[in-house]
Amino acid sequence: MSRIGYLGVFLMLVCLVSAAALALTHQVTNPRILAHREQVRQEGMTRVLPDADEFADAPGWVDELLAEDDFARVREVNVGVAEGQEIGFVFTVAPYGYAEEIVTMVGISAGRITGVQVLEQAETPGLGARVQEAEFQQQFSDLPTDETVAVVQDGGEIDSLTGATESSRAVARGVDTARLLYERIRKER
Amino acid sequence: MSRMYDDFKRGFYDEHPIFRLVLGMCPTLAVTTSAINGIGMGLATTFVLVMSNLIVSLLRNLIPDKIRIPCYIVVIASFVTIVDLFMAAYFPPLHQALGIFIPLIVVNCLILGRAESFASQNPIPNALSDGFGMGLGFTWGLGVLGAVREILGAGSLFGIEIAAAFNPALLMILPPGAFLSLGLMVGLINWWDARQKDSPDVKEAASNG
Repeated sequence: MSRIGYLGVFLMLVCLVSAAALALTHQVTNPRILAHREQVRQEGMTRVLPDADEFADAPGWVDELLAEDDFARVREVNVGVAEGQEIGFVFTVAPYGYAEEIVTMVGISAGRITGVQVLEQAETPGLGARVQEAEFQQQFSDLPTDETVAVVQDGGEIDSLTGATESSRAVARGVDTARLLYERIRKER
Repeated sequence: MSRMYDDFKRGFYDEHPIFRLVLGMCPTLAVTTSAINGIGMGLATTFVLVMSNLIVSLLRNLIPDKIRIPCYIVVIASFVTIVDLFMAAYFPPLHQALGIFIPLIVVNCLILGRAESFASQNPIPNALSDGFGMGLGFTWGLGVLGAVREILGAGSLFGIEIAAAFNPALLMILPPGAFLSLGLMVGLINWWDARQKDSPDVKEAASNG
């Protein structure tokens, strides 16, 4: 066999072994990773819509709304159910913050925001990362859904975090998107 | 046996990857916002370094010289992906905090550097002690930098509030704080060595450096 062929075959063998090792690792770890993701999702939903005792997928026509440009940052819609009755929605939105997407869950029931929870963010530690703090997220609770949600700088009622207007604004924008979608769902029905 | 100890000590202190060789600056400056992040990153790097040194040393007479670098990269990238998946599965909060820097261990020049300059020319026991020395040296370096920045910048250590007496200086957990603490640590270590050796030329090197 030619020299160059030998090199190619050798490199291929190295890659094959490595691929096999990675496939095995994936097999071992994937169930746990998925389970953890699901657990975070469930806990988040329970926190933003505490009255619901289970969550169902949104009906198909709601998912179709997500294709619209206005709702491009909405990742997922779930319906909160208590004792067989639909009591509200959980919207998972991912507005762009200062660094990356800030994945946020927004619970809405009967025309009011019931809770906001930031699930994933990569904002500056000590500044933008404080959007995760309960004190900041509390501000959204009980806001009516027929009014625009915005930070004080944009004429709204949400106090921005010191030194992190951009991150605060992103979360407010995400909540506003959820609110608009909620109003839209109400109207379409 | 004493050679293995030397191999370990070289990375752990004498040729410390951060404070002496100034390698792997990207994770050093970026993830040391807290002590636990620094140590987590250090241990992940140590694992990759030890495993890649082991495999490279094991295959050192088999790998054709012309394609050794691609082979090393495949080996390193595989172990990094394994670490990434295991961290995501078993230590999700740490995995989230370290984010993009775990995949970037692949391009940490410390790891490829040790594979190329040490593991590929030395038997397995020495390659292993070199990997542990360099890796744990890297870990304590990141841990110390993370602790300094966390205390000064956030007023806590390992997430426990300790500062009631002073206002934390936010600057220290922002990027400039990384450069400040790194510079101070390098200076401190040079000063210490100069004092230890107490010879005029070491003193001069330290004051110039």
